[in-house]
Amino acid sequence: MARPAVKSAAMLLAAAALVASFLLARSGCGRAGRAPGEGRAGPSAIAPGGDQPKTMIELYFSLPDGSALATERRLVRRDEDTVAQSRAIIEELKRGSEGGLAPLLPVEMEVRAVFLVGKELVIDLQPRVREAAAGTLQEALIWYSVVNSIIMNVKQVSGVRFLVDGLETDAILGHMDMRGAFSERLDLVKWY
Amino acid sequence: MVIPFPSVEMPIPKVIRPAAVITAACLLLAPAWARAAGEETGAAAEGIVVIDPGHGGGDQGINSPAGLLEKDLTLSLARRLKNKLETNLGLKVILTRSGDYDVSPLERAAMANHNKADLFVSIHLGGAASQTADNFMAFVAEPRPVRDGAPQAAPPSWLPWNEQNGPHREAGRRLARAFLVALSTWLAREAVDPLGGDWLVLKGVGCPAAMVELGSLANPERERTYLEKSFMDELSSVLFEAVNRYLEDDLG
Repeated sequence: MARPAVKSAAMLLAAAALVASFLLARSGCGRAGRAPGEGRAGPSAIAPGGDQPKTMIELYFSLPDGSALATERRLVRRDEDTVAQSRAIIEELKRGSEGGLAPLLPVEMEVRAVFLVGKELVIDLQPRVREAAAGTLQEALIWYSVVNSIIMNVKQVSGVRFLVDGLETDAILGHMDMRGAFSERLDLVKWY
Repeated sequence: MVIPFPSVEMPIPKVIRPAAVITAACLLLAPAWARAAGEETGAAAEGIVVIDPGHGGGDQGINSPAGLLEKDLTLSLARRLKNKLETNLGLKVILTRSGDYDVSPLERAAMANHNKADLFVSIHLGGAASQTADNFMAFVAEPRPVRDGAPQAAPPSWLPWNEQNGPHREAGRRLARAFLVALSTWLAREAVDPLGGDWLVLKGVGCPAAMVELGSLANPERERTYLEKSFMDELSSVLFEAVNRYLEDDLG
């Protein structure tokens, strides 16, 4: 009877397929392209144990009554790259508060590009940001939630400048002069 | 031919002497009379106030859930305040816009300077992500804070456009405080301090200037009050009282 021979041949074939798939996986064949910076060497790379390095930051949101900024601590991915870390902070601000504070960044505020010039972080916004409506106090809280959250957490940045569609503009939300770089304003923060 | 300058020895007709004395006295006393006249009718009786109704045209400002537009409410309040200042204090009042059209913040400041305004008041309403917010606030121009140790440009010997409000900053702060005191009394709330900032419409104005924000249109309760004519009348009276108090305290 030929049945035992067929069985052993099938087992051999299965073992060969297993080895081949293992080798393919190790070589990286069939994987989607890597995102820029992903898997690069350095402290922000995934640690050997598979743990992402994290850092505690303070984000600036609005008090529920809209009268001032307040801080909320959050553990976020740590990135030694200043621009990447700043982008991560903006994303966390857009996600909103987890502790009952009011969100500030309007949905129309989308980042077009972020780059560093010396110690000044430049945030280039999509033109759609002009469609957002904000009161005077609200506008001050919006810009300084970004400025404070970045400057107070990223030591390489001492000023933040906002552009729209690559250009500096006198007004974005209508009330505040947006020309030049902003430094942090802690007098807008109500501390507990 | 040389015409001799009349010497003291030249005879002066008797009728001219009293006229000359009276003329000289008038010239000497004129400034004092002018000051006295000003005190009687209010020091700014001939003053010019520029009221700036925020937003306008394509820039609607805050849009309330029921469809109230900030640009309409600011214009309505500005017209009411203009009427009260002209009627009760005899001031000349100019609006930076009298209808629904776009005027840039810098054009508004330029309008105040072109008309040699003595006082500038910008009227706004607020908005917020939260429906519970309802802040009545006043703002003054202040230079943006600079980090310690950051390089700063040497001040120029002339006053740039963006710093025209600098010499009037303290007076502007008193005007803003007058608004906050009047509003907090009316609302039975604790008065807050004016918020200094890099406000585009104020920093180029060459006279005492303040901006007010009168509650949040995102707040349903506040929105409801703005639908009432009596509320608008009361609010404009409170703004008028604040300007009047400022004029009395600062110039009276």
